Amino acid sequence: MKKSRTLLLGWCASVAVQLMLLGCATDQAALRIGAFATGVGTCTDNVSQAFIEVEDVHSRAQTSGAIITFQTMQFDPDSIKPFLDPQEVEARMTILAGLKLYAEKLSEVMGNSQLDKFDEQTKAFGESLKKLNASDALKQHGLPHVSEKDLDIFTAAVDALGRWFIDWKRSKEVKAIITDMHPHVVRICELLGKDIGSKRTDKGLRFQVYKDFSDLIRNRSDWIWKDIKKFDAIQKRDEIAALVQLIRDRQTADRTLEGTYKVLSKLQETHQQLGKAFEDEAPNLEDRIRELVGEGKRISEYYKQLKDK
Amino acid sequence: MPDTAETTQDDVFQAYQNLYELMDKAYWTASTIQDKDRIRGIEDAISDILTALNAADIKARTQDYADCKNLVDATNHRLDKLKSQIDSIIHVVKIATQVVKAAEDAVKLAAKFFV
Repeated sequence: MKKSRTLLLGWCASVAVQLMLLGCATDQAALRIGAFATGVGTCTDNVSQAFIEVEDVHSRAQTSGAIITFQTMQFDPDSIKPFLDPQEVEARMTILAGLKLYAEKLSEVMGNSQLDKFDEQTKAFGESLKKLNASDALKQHGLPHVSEKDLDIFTAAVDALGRWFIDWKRSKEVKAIITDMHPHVVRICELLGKDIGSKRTDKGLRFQVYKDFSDLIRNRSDWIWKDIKKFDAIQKRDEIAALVQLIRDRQTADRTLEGTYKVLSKLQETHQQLGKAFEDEAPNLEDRIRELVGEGKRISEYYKQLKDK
Repeated sequence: MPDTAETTQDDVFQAYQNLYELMDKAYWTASTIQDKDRIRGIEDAISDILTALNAADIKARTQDYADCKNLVDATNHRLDKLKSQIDSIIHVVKIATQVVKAAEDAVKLAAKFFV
């Protein structure tokens, strides 16, 4: 009886150690998927910002146009409208929020919070077993007593088995979800890419921002030309400096949208590799995640610059 | 220039865009405010056409986004389901702890009762 119990505990200890080693691979996957979620978050925020930026520049161009033509042409209040209707923008914001939520949920499922909860519960289970084992009442009934060390081994094995099962289940399901989601990620990125436009001469937000900035620059130039005689030297200098700054802003905005477009391709490529997050070595995926996060941060800085103006 | 029969919205857009760029160059080359004003007037009209064509192209994709939304929602629902399945595994251990505690109470009570 004692011999078989010793054998069973020995098996438990060995299983616990082996399963703990297996857990390291999913820890890596959790880190990679967590980093991917960060990259997706930044990327979707940047795309949302692109829609906000286009409306902002469009509104500024309309205002400057109205100022220039107010006295010479009949002003039509109906001509002042957003570039896109709110419901068109809303449809894009909803899909971006959905994509961000998907990445966050992936990271949450793969994260440690549920495993920590499980550990907490198995610890409580172990403690209650020890309490029961130490109970005098148990001795009174002549029930067998187990050493505390044996109970620790048993609890560790329960914990390791449970962790292994959770790891196995979530790895299997998450891999399948990533595979099934991939065509939708590709489709969404393609649609958003078309909205932004690959070149500034193609239809899209990139073209619109460039053109609206050009309108803005031309209107400002016209205004300077018309009022130049009224300016003193300092006003003249400031106005021309502001015009040159607008040209720089146009370049920054164009580069920002170009970057936003390119990151969408990176997002697709990274998601395609994401199933490899569960492998011991995934250098290609890790490189792509680093690029996605790095580029996303760089573009966020550009948007911040544009916003601060 | 493409044939009228084959003209697409893209061709129209490209033609207006070329015109807009040429007018923009002309604006910056013009040396009097009168010339600039005239060019700007034409450019403003072209700009409005380009904006309308561009917005229409983007709007045409809105339904595609609505279709994608349902697919993304379904995936997020799958992830929620997986999370709750894992929660239920944790719950099993919680129940086991409660069972052990109940067993301890029962043994204590039995000890008092049978003594």
